[in-house]
Amino acid sequence: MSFDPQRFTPVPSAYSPWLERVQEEWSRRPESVFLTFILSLIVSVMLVYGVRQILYAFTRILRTQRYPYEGLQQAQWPDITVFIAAHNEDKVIGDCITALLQTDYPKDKLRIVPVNDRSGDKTELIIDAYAVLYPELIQPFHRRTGKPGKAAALKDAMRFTTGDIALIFDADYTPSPSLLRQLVAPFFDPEVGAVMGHVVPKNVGANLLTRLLDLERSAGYQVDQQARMTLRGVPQYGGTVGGVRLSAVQAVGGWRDDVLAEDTDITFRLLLAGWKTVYNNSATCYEEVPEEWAVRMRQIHRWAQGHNQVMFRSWKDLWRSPYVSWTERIDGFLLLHVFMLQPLLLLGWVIALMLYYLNASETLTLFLPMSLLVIYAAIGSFSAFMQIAFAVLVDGHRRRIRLLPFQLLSFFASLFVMTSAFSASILDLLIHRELVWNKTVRYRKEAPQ
Amino acid sequence: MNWDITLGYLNFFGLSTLMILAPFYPAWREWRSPSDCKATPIQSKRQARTVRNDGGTFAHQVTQVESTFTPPHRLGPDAVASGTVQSPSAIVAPSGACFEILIAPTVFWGEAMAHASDESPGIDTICTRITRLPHASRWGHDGWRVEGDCHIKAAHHLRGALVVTGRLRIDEDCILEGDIKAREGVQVGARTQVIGALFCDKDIHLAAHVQVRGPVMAENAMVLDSGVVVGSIHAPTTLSARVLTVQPGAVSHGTVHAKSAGVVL
Repeated sequence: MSFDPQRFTPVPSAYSPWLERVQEEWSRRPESVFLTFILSLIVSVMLVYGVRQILYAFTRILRTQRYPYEGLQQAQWPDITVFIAAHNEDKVIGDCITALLQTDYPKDKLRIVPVNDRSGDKTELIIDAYAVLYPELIQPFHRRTGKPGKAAALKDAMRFTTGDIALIFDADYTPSPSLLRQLVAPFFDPEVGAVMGHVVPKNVGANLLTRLLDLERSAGYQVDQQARMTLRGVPQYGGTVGGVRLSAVQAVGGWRDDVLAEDTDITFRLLLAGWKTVYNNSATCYEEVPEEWAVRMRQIHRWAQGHNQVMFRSWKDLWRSPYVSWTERIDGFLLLHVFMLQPLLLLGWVIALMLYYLNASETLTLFLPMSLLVIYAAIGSFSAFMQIAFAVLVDGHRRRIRLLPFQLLSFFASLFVMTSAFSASILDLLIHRELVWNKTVRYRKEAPQ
Repeated sequence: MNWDITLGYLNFFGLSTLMILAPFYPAWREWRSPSDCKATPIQSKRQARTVRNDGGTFAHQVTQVESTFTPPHRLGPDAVASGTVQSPSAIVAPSGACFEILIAPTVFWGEAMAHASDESPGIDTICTRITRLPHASRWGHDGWRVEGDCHIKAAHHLRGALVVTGRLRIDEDCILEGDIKAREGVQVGARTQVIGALFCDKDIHLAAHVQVRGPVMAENAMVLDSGVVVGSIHAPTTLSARVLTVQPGAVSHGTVHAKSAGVVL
């Protein structure tokens, strides 16, 4: 039996008319078709992130939350070392150390190591004063040389650890009495490599910026992190108000001092090796948020640049690791690329403007059905605001939601900063330049002597 | 000039502007006259309650008794102890009692007191030391990781932490030294000793006369058979599950937390 082509009648594909239109448009206006294709990809990416944020928001509100280590009150608590990263922190370091001394963690299992990284103010004096009063609890580390930056300082300080668990705080944090136990509890689970607590701004009422940052933090922890914990995604270790299992860090190559975002770096290296990062929503700690826009923008720039650095290093391994579930892969992939959204959005606006001037409205409908644009406008643009609103309600507040429209200010400001950070990340990747750590300014009044 | 079209445009722009700017008015007022700008309070601990034997509850702080000779606090046979019940000496939870959080140096489940020392595997059983788990890779300092299910046969001795991504089944008379985590379920055979913590994303079943140093935590259900001992009088620990079912004759030391429902059969 042989094949007779004359008896074969091809069935017209549903895509044939569309393909013909694309070919026709391409022959007439190739630049419009190309730009429209890029724009459709950008809209699709935005839609994915919009759906993700909506999913997180409704997960937080409607689903039973996962608090797997809640209620772990009594145990044979292990030895822990608490590191306080400090560079010119004389206004705040005293409060942090005092708060740690007042925690209910067994004192014979606790060691506090303030890491004074080449401070030029009274930080060293204050730390030494506490060390004299509490020699059995406090072991200061005054770092005078070495690579600048928190990651490098912590790496050098690791030789002072006792036990297998290290908790890390920035100097402007004031831990509550039960915080250390809440952070250590998940480490009884041998699969846990890192733990992250819940950070709450203390200086909320300082000005409009701090109030907006309070809304953002609320969404980031109360909704985003908790939803990822509930959905068994990838909660992120944040580098402060958190802890790591040192044997796990050793197993994945130890601390790196050539990263700006050592927290994101350790989260993904642990994930790729099968260790879990856990978010504990009840392990709450106060922090100080920036009170000036310039300081805030530098902070975002550092976070974005560091995060993108980790993205370039880790995104391929995420798909190859045999220890990562599909939920973690997808969630981790979206998390890795989250700081690319603003540059993509900016690019999308530029392309839309170009298409307008190219008079390409017909070409636009080739790849972007009107329904997709409407859905994106309804969901994608406002999903972040919905997350903030839900978070504020879960926190028990009401009237501060009225400030939501002002989040547009923060959004537009960060749009250009993150785009700049992305460009800087590309440059870092291409020319392998050393990253510079910019310390965040503190605003608390100087501690009494 | 077509006034109808012009009027239409003006109405459109006016309405759009109004809709865009309207939310900024309450935002402006909240900014200029803050009414909600305090830091989110950090949650406080639960308040302890005592329970009446008729099942009713009332809320007040449990007095901390200094003396160690306080008799055990007995829940009624049909008591529903919601909230926290705390005793400085012991709590006896008889059959039929329901509970949420119990905190005491010793909690006796059922009226009979367990004599676990007669049933530990070290007395009569000689365990075979496991030097290498099949299908396991090294994990951390000295632990093991098994992808999929894991079965530890009777009378075996394993040292090191153990992470199992599937179900873990431990037969009777085993000794496991190290913290254990299994994602899909844990079944521990009779008279096995776990010298460490035990965690599971789903269900845990501890058979008769199992001893676990603790903590023991299951995200779903946990069943403790008769004679199970969790923690010790010198090393109280935490026992927690969403649904906790305990057979009479078990003993625990420290905190017991049933997040949804706890019952003594």
